[in-house]
Amino acid sequence: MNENINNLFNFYREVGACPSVSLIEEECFGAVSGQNKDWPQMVFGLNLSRNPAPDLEQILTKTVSANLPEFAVCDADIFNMKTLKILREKGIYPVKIWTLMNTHYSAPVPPEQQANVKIKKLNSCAEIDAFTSLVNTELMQSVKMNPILAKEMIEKNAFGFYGLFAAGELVSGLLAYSDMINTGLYFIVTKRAFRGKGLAAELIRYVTSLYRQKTNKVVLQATQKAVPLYARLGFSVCGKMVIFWKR
Amino acid sequence: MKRKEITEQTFSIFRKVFGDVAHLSEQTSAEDIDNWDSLNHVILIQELEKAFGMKFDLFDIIEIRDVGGLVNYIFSKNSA
Repeated sequence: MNENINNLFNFYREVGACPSVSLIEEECFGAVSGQNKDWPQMVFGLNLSRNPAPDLEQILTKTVSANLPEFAVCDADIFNMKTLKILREKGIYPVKIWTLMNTHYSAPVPPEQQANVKIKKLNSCAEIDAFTSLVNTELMQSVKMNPILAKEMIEKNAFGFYGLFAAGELVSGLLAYSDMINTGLYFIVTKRAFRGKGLAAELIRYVTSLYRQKTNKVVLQATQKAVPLYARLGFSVCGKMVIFWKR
Repeated sequence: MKRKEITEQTFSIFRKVFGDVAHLSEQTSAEDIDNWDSLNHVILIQELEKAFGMKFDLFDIIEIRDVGGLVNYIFSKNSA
């Protein structure tokens, strides 16, 4: 399996082990759901055949009828126009595409931090609250991250929340997840007014250099718009994933 | 169909899906409309397909999150 996808699925499993999250793992899929329809809401780890449309329809019909998530994340390569047409007729639509990217630890040592900027690992309740507020305001749409879950996650060594502060205000952040093989970067976010200033790039370089001694690669899932930014930071495209929604 | 007609009809669909959008223009993007999220984007695509009598390549169009981009896409499909 693609290392990027593996990290993502392990990420969901690790989040699913938190007290406020429900995790179900069956032979053909896993499903992780936060309380009150909060993040995460995802069916993952789908075991799809060469004819994925009926498999996906069967799984999502099962999860939706069991009040489990109505979103499923899959490798985009296994779907073609014909399967998308079949899925559309069943009320299942692609709603998001992620470009999978990874980088080896040949990235150069990060430059000096910009003046008036501080990067640190987030630990306090106030910092975690600020991170979830930033994520929910700038990144999340229909599903929100509950700060209670974020505080459960910082208790686990596998997760690290990192933030970049400008004049004492948290303006950029990300969540690093290490499955002991690779490190995934999730929820990379910068406050709108602070975008275009290289802050996310600085934060990513900092976190990447931190994890370079511990794991093999850094992986992430990017929107199409963000691909050039990550490419400038040494990330290469290695696949695509699609999120389907059963309407 | 002329691009101007496509633009006007697209604006009309936007107002149908999102309500009365202030300062709607080709530069309007998902950042400018509060409830233009992934799920409403699917509904928007369905309404556009109905209005223009076309089926779009979903993998192409789901990533286009600005009005001008959608108009260009529809125009290119319409002209093909």
